[in-house]
Formats: sequence, structure tokens, C-alpha cells
Amino acid sequence: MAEQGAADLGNNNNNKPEASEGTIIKVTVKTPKDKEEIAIAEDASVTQFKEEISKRFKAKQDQLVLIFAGKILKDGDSLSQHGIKDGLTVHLVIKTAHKAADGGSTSASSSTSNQGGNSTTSSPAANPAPTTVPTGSGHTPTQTPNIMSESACVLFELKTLFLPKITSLSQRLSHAGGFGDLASLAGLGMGSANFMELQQQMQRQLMSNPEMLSQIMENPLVQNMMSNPDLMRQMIMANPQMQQLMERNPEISHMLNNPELMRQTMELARNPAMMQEMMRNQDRALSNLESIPGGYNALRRMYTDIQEPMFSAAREQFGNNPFSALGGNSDSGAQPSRTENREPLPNPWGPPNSSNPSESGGGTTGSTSTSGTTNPSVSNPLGVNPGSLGNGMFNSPGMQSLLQQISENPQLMQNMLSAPYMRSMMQSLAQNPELASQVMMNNPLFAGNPQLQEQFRSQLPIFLQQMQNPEALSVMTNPRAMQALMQIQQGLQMLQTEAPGLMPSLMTSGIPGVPTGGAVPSENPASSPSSAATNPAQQQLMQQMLQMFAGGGGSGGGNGTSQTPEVRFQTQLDQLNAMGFINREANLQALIATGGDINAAIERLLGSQPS
Amino acid sequence: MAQNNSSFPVQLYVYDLSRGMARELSSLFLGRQVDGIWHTGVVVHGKEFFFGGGGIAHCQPCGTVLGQPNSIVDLGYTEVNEDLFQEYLDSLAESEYRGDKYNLFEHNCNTFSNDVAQFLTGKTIPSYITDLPSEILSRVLASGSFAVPTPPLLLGWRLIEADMTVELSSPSS
Repeated sequence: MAEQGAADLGNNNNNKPEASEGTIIKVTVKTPKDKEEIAIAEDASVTQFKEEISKRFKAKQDQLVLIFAGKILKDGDSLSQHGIKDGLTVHLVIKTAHKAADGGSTSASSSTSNQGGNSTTSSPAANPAPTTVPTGSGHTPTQTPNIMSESACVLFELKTLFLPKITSLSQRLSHAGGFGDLASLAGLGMGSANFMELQQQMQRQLMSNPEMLSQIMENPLVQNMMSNPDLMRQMIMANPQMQQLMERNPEISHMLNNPELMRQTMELARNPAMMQEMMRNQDRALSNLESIPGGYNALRRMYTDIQEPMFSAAREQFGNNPFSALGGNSDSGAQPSRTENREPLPNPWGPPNSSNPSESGGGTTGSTSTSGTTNPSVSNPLGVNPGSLGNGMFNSPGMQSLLQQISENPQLMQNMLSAPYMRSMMQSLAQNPELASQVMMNNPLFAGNPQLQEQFRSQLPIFLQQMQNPEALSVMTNPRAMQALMQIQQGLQMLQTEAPGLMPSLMTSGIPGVPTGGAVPSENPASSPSSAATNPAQQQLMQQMLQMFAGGGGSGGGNGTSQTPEVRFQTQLDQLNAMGFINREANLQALIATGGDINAAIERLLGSQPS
Repeated sequence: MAQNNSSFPVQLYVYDLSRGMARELSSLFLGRQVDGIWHTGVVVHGKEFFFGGGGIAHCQPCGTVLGQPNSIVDLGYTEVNEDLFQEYLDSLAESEYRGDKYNLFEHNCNTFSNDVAQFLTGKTIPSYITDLPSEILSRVLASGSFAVPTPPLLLGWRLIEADMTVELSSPSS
């Protein structure tokens, strides 16, 4: 072999693969930057191989160092000697001409400065919890479980609030040089220009790594910072949502100012067993409360007054959990007590799908980021199932009430959508459809329904693009648009049950017309008096969306609408004009919102007139 | 032919970032059992190499803040000497493994360890490490909100209780 190698060196310049007989194999040659497939004879020598490589990689043969299975391939060897076969990968390092002799320990962009110094400073990257205030002062809540529960809540609230603060803090503290994932959190801050991305990633990591919290808290630096109650209070106050909450509910500020509580909270974070204990106590206390006369009502009242905003505040940070309403519908006193009774909807579960009731009820653990992907579903109550429009999940009563809740609370949607976390999450989901589909598939709501999954999967890219479209987002924050969508859906349901044969033909062209008919509860729009301008462009977009989705998602969403609202409502507009409502714009909006129902539109117009 | 092929042992140091808490709490927060949040570094030529937010870095073995590894996986031997390895790392640091290429889930320390291990020895690192991000990502995003509503809920109840106590004790309200 050796002679052959030596002989080949001089003789075999052309290095045709057939120079030595043998089959040709394709070997992948991989450099740190590049990858190429090279065809070479099975029994070729390393030298021959290097010749090929040098041509392909435009480097001199003696700059090439080949490594396979941990061994450096010497010129005299043959490929088969090392077991290099078809389809395998050989690593290549191209030595630079001025080969830095002392290795690159200086030239490596990899920092060697990581040793020692950065370790403690970068660990507070992720987030902390309240402090260990040594001296408890002020009022101590009467029962221990209460302390614990308060602690837990404060813990989490503060955690969400502190994340941005700590992030910036860690950025200032840490320097280049990460070591592993822990410090990479800090490094992330340096590396990525996008602060929001950092926050998002940190939150993600935090959620997957609860122990990190305890670790962080034990860090002396963090403890020092945390032990300053003023600083903490300041940070808390700085969060606008907390401020809002505190204005409305002074008890919260009391609680936050209670150092005893803080200490408890921190201990709680350390000790998951304690946390579980506390949760159990909480449940017990709750059931006790219910039995006290008048207690239940008080409970409900407090819930609506306090929990809702708290929920929203927390949710905004983490992205919304729109499905919390689904499972907890019986508990959300908000719904029945604040809004008018909605008419029951027609049977949402068409014949094909009897398994859905379980799904819709089980949605409590709906995801945070699938809220990003389920956003389309929330705002698109069509349910987008080309197969059967009445299909379960989206038409469930829970979903309906959720939609109503959202339409009444435009702020919620607004906040949720505009949370930078949400945006970047959606962006990353959009860029990585596989990820998004994976995420969605794991959403418990979809779990039981492979058919739904398939549909969603196919429409996913379009969904995501839609989400990116700021117009689409603004449509979703428009409560009347939401209501209109709901009405459309209801109309479609009706149609499906009443005239199943009609549906296919209606799908593409008839949808804009549907809202004018169908089962439209007329008191629907009355609850939102705000006159946010629903300009025709938004309407257009909405209709496009509807058409696109109803058309099976394949049409790309750019379909022109068949009729603009103006055309559709021409008759009604004229009637309104004749009655004396001369503000055409307002008329149009009202008509759109009420789906062409003149009487309801008149009520709207009268209600929104400044008195 | 019989050249002096020096042979350097290559090891993979595996650390659990959660210090065991993932094993305890993961099913609570993620809905499924995850045994650890793995961070890895490759130890060769007497140094530990890893990839982080600041790019490729190295230190003394066990020299990170994580201390002693959870487990050490033997990856075999390599003939690649220090100089060559350093050149390789330089190339990587200019391309695939710059600091800004760090992605917590898709291009992290374990990705780096895997690539380096393959370069040095031809072997990959154990799959339970490289599979972790996709598992966690799907689980976290699917069920992460489980953890979120609970504390605000608790807060709400607490305040309810407080109010209840007040109300009951002062019936005049």
C-alpha cells in the first residue's frame, strides 16, 4: 500500500476515479464552514482523495488535514484502510497559511476570558423572586396558608415583572464569555440585539427550569439586591399593569409591601413541597369559604374584581391563555354577571364529530404560545374546517363565550397581541412552521382530534402569515370585527344544519352575504359602545380572511371580496339615510357590526351619539 | 507508516442545569417527565470546551460554575492534536458557532458538543441530550401556562379570604 501511495503521488495526476479499478463511492467532506460530496474510488488513496478535495475546496493539498473516526488520514493511507465507505462523512480542516503556531488560544474568537470572573455575575440572568427581608414587620396575616398563598402569587407576579429588570441588570453586569446555558442567558443579552427575544427565551427557559429560580435566589448578588425592599417595591411599581391593579385594589399594595410575605414567598420558591402544601391549603380554605353564608357571592365578586385583571396582567407577560375560560367557565363569574345572556347556539358538533365535547372542556391547559397559533382560531371562529364547518372545537359554547369575552374586552386582545413577547413568538413560529405545528399538535385541545390537526397543519403557514399581517392583528383587536366574525360563524352553523347541500356553493362567494342573514342575536353588538373606526380596509381584510379560510386555506388569502360592505348594505344605507342618519360612515359601521340588521344598527347609532 | 499517532482521550461532561429539580418538577410544569436540563462540554487536551452566548469557550475541566458533571461519557480517542483542534475551533467560531448564533433550543451547547465529538471521534453524543430541546419546547409551550394562572388565582383567593375575614368580623360593612 505504501508503495502504491508513493507511486500514485507522482503518476496519478489526473486522478480519474477509474484510475484504480473499484467502485466509486460518494464521501461527504465537511469543513467547519462547508460541506461537499466527493466521488472517489473505493480503494483510492488518501492522496488521491486530497487531490480531489483540493480542487473542490480550492486549497493546497498540504493545507488539508482529513479526520475520520478520530484518526488523521495520512497521505500514505488508503480510504478503505480507514473504513471510509459510501455515504460517510470525513472531516476536513484547511490549515491557514500563517498557521498560528500557538494554536489559537489568542486568536480564537471563543473567549478565554470566561474563566472565573463571569460566573457569578451572569447567573442572575434569569429571574429572581422576592427577597429575604430579615425582620418581619407590620401585619402578619392570620393563617399560615394565607401567607403561603400570597407568597406564591407574589412570587410569580414578581417573577414576570422582574424579568425585564433582571435582564437589563445582567446585561450590565456580565461581559462576553458564556459558559454553557446558564451564562448564555447573560450572553444572550449581549449577543442578541433583540431584547424581547431575550426575554422570551429567558421566560421559556425559566418555565422549563424551575430549579433555576432557587439557584438564582441563592446567589448572593441577587440576595443583596432583593433584600432591599425599597428597590423591589420600586421595581414592582414600575410595572404599569401592577400600578393599575394597585389603584383598583389597594389590598394588593398592602400585600406587596409586607416583608414577611416576601420572605415567605422566597422560601416557598425554594421549596416545592411547601408550594404544594400551600396549594392544598388553598383549596381547603376555599371550600371552607364557600360554606359561609354569603361567602360564595363574595368570592365571586372578589374574583371578578381582582382575579381578572391579575390574570390579564400575568397573562400578558406570558402570552395569553385564551383557553382558560373554556375549562373554567362555571367559575368565571364574569361571564354571566356582566353580560347579557347569549342565546344558545345550534348544535356545534356536526354529525361526524362526536368526540369534541371532551376536547373543548379540557382546554384549561391551553398553551401560551399556542395562543399565538390559536389566535387565528380564536379570531377566526370559522374553525376553518373545509370538511365540516360546524366542527366542534371552535363552536363549543366555551369558545363562544371566550369570543364574547374577548370582544368585550378589546384591551385584552390588544395587550395580548402587542406584547412583544407574543410578537416575537409569532415571528419565530412563522419562520419555523415545523415548530409551530409541533407546538400545536401538543396542545391538548387538538390532542383528540387528528382530523383537526391535519387541517390545521395544512393551513398553518397561511395562519402564520396572517398573524404577521398587522392589518389582521388590528382586525382582531377590533371588538366589532370579532363580533362580526362570530356572527358569521353562527350563520354558517345555521346554514349547515338547515341546508347542508347549500354549503359548498356558498363557501367561496356567499360568505360575505351570510352575516346579513342567519341566526344573529341582535343584542350582541350592543355591549360595546366604543366607536373605534372600522374602516373599510379592515372589513376587506376580514372578508378576505374568511374567504380564504373557508375556501380551504389554499387560496392564499388574497382573494378579492365579492362584495364590499357598502354594496351589500346599500339598501340598508339608503334606508338609514332616509331616516335621517346622515353620517354614512357611522351607518356603514353600524350595519357591518350588526350584520345588516337595520334596527340593531339604529340602536347602535343612537347609543353612540354623544348625548 | 507506523507513525507516531498520538492519541488523546475525549470525554463528554454532562451537567444537569436544574440540579435534579427537573426530575422532580418537570412533570408538574411540563406535563411530562424530563430527567434533566442538560448542558455539555467536551473535554480534550486537558481542557473543557463548550459553546455559549459568548461563543466558543474553554476552561479547566469542571471549571464552570456548574462544578462537577452529572455524568461523564467516554467518547473514545482522537488523533487530532491541540493545534489542529484549535484551528478547527477557529473556523467554527467564525462560521457556525459565533456568539450570535446561539439559539437556546436549536443551536446550543449540546449542538456544539455533538459536532465537536463527531469531528474528534466520529461518534455522536447520546441522543437523550440532543433530543431535549424539541421535547421541552413542545411541552413548555403546550403546557407552560399551567403554571402561570395558578399564582394569580391564589392571589385572588387570598384577597378574597382577607376580605371575607374583614367582612365577617365587622358586620356593619
